[in-house]
Amino acid sequence: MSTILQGRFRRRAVAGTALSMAALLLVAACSSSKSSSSTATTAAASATTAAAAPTTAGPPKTITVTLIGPFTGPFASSSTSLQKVFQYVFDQVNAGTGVVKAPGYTFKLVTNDDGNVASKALDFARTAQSNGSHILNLVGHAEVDAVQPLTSTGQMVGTMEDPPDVDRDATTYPYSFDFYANDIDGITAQMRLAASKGVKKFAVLAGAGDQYQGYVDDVTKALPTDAGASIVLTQRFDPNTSDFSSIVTKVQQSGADGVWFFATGSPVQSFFQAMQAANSSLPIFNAFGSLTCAACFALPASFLSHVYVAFPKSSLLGSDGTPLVAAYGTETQNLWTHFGLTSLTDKAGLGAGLEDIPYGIVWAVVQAGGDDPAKLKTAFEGTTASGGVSFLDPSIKYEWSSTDHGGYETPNVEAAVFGFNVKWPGFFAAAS
Amino acid sequence: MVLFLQAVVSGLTIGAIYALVAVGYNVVYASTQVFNLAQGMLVMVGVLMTYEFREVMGWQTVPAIAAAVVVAGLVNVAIERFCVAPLGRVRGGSQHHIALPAFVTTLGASLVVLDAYELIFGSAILPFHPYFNARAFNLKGVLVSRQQLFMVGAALVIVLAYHAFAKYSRWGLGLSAMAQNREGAALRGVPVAGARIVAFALAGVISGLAGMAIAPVTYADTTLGFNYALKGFVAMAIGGFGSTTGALVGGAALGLTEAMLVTYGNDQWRIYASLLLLLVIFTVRPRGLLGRQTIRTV
Repeated sequence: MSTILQGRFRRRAVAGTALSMAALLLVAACSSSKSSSSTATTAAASATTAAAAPTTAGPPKTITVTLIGPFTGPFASSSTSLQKVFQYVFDQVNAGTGVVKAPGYTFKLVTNDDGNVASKALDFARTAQSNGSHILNLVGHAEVDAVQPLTSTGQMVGTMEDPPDVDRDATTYPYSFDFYANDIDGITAQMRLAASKGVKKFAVLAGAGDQYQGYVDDVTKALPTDAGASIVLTQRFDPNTSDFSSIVTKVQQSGADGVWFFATGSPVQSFFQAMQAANSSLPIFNAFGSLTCAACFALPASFLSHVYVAFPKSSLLGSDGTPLVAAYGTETQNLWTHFGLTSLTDKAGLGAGLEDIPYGIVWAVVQAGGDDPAKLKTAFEGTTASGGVSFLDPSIKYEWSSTDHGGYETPNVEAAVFGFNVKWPGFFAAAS
Repeated sequence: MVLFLQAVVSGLTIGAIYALVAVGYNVVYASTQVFNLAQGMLVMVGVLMTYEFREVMGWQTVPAIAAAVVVAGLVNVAIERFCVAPLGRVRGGSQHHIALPAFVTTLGASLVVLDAYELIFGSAILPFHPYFNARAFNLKGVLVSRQQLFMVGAALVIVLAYHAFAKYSRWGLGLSAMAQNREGAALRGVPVAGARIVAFALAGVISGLAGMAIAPVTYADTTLGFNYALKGFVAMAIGGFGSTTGALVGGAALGLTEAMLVTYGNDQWRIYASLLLLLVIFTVRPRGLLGRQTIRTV
């Protein structure tokens, strides 16, 4: 079991927690002078078929997509998972069998191992640009730092979601797919759950640092004050804290009937243990931290039953124990079969939700009639006006606009019960 | 009042682990004048080896712990053999001459140990089943868990055991003699090279025991080492270099300060607690609370 959790943790902590959904990084290359005849975005990917194939006869136009991330070291699993999924999708698209059709285009994947070092990511991004690869996808925490120098030059960039909601800032970080709900979407979804359970007084516990401040701010933003909800305790703590007994006492004395807990790594289980020791049954809303705590899966189910996280619908199981969005379940199994995955660890790291990224790229290229950054920008930012774009299933929509590059739609995110599902590793049970 | 007492419980619990790491530092420092900066990593070794033997291989808890601390001791002996002993040969064997280079080589050793364990165990936090029932005793509102009692109790027992070893055993007396005058001890028949190995082994065992004690709280996490290396060092400095009792006092002082700052400071002040305490101690009482002043005629 520990192996399962370890693998799951690696993938979720990296590909999930803060960097779950990659970024679509479009490096502009002095191409804004080209006319931009924007094609309207469509609600369903199938409608994009042959929408904007190259008009000139001849060999297919090759679109080079560069995947930059840590392919070695402790975070390698997230990059390798994405590499697999990108290649899987591009192979299908190139063969004309993908969910999104792109006749006239051949997609080529290039990968660069930046070792989770921001400066290397930046170097690779610039090299890719000079080599004519205008579409970059960055994976990893460190890559966030790499984005800024590109942005300052006026180039279009995107990155992981770290700190929360940074990807929504259209002036800085365009085009996250944001399928992993470690942001205000996830917090809002859990607030809805809290309201349904009558939880109104919250204690907000968060590690020290700017990243966690973002989460604290998001809780405040999402707090349904008009329904009488309030924050009765805000407690920050050093990430190295290993004994939470006094903090749990403060929570109990505050009269809180629900707890938000934002941390990663060992403090998560230390806090959970302190709550257990106090025999507390307060619901713990944990937008992302518990997902970085694979070890927490070993805690008693009776305790975990009131620990909540948030996920997009594409990663949730319904009350019957099957995926809420059947298409994602089926496609996930296809992925497992294609790559011959048998261990739960490997399966947990490879879900069909990842396919939305390369399909999003393919879709945008088709819409833009190539990889001209200005036209890609128009394609992405036109999705809000057209009602969003879907790939594997019409119920999962992405929307970008000139002011919000967050991609994933808030209503698509739901609260889930924290727990590991052996049959569907990578999927969590929707909380209701 | 309940909150204050709860903070005391919290502080003493974590302070107990700091104290054990500080004792580990002291065991080596007192006899060899070497600050073994890999000491914190041995806590991690203790945690992960206990995890390996108990959680992965399914051993009973006691033999798993025993094996884990032996490994921690052996790792520290390896550090002594490969990172400290060669310095003596290169630098002419003077204890004072190897102190500074050993500072660097043991820091390097800590990185090697960390990388090796990350390579083996990965960077994920691995689950560790509790030794005891999770429910805490409720003492008029103050919660004291069995795990907390175990951590404090283990620290006291280990420190007392080491104290007895140092005072009453031949090897312990030899180490004490080396602490005062290495050359003189050698002239009186103390096998100083062997004693240094014993000191490193003991320090490794003590830090390994600290890891064993804290494992159910932190779980098996390769990133533990640096934090405890720093906190243990600060605890030693507060208590007094070379003082076993001082290590206990220093650990408790640091743990309590941190707990109070966490409980009443409501922010990340705890991060700075150790540095603040270190600054105050070095300014007011450089030899630490219980450190002895040594006067030498030169």
